[in-house]
Amino acid sequence: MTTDLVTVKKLVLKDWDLHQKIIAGYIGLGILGLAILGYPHVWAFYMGCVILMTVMISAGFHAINVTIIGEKKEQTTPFIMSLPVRPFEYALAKIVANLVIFLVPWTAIVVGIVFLTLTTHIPDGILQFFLVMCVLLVMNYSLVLTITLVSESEGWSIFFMVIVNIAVNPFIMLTLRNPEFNQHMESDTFYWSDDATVMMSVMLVATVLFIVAGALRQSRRQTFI
Amino acid sequence: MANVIEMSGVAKTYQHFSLDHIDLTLPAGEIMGLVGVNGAGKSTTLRILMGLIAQDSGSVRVLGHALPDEQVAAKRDIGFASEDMRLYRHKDLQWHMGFMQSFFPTWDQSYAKHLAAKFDLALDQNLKGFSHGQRVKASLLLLLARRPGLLILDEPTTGLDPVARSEVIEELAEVLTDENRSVLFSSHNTHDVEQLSDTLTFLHDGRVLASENIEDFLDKWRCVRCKGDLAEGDLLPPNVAEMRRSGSLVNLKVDNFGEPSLQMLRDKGLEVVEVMRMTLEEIFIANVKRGRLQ
Repeated sequence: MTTDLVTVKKLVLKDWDLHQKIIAGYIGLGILGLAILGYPHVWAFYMGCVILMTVMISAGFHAINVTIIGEKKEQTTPFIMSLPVRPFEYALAKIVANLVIFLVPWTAIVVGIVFLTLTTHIPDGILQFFLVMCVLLVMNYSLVLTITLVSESEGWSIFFMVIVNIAVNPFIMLTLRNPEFNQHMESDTFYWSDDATVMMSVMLVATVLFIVAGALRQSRRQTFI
Repeated sequence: MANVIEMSGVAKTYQHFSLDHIDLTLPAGEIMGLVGVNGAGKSTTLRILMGLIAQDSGSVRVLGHALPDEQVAAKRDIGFASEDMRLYRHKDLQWHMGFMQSFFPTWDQSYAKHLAAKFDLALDQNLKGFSHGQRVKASLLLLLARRPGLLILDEPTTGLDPVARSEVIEELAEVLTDENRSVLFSSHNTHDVEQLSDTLTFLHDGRVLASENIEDFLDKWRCVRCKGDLAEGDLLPPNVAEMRRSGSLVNLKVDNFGEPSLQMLRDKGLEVVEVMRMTLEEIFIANVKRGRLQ
């Protein structure tokens, strides 16, 4: 079965067009979080971290909710599927559109974090921890995206959102116990450990696997209602 | 004349409903009304014809394309609107028209604007502010302006107020004057079907009860009023779909009506008082009641 990438592009642009305000809103909240993070006080640091994590998590789950669950609940899927669109093209467009909607604010926030860490009072040594955390959120997002796309179930989507978010705290604790991270947290020198490389690599491979598995599963579907 | 729709032995099973080996053909240029009560299988049939759901067994060809495998080729020339299909609430009609135009080179912008004016639809108003009738008209505008060769409409007039209903029927009637366009539309309103269709298919409980030209239906069915002592349990000819006693009279709904039918009734000792033509709605109800007994 051939895939018409022009059709996929039209569907991605449609989702981008429909959700521009959401993306702008999350970028705005991200900028607010970065501004607070850069403020030279301990409370601002913690508050900024919490805001940025919340924004990244919310941006992803909001995108999944409105583009996949929302389209099903609002019964716009039959409208799209009545157009000359193959089920796989629809699924592929959903994956790409979701990644774009999530990764645009995510990238803006990551760039801001790197810039702030390297240019302000924030210890440069914490940057590897920040980046590992950001990649963890991408992996969590991709898992929930795949589950939602395949199951088309709000219940399963929420269940996995809860599970991956519960997993964030133990991940932070375990990572901070690792000497490769905790011994450099307050250092003014940027440090990048092999452990960080391994963790990021594993998470990025898992991210790709989740997405490819979801796409392959959807490629076998003949219909999408 | 080639068939634009060919369904053969199509079955689809859900937990509480099955479509039972449907055979259906629609010749090019013909308008067919698919009539059935809620849950008869009309929407499932139409969704299979659009490739939106896949049949469990049987073959489906639409515009010469096998479904669901060749759904993209088929959908290029099908205009589909369904009662439970929604447009994007936070976008206006102009946005939807642009979106449709990007998919269909045949999009006729001037016709779209003509329809918008005729249906009194604002192009720059978000659809969340539209009434149900306006949303139905907007859906019709979006599919008609593509000028498709085949229209598949699932309950296009359901939930419309009388004025909106009349406007939609009027526009559809105008569109249907194009002899190259074929239409299959479902409804539980026989009045709408009678106004628009050439042929009629009764669907009940996932089965096709009857499929014929509307004139043939009207010619074949009669309500026969008789006098006599026919008991409820008496064996009636198989073409008597319904019997109801009313005082000393017996009312019979008879399919394949003709002189032999009258003779059979006389043979049973009944005196035929009156023979009346039936409306499509009465024929539909008689078909459904007979279908329930089968």
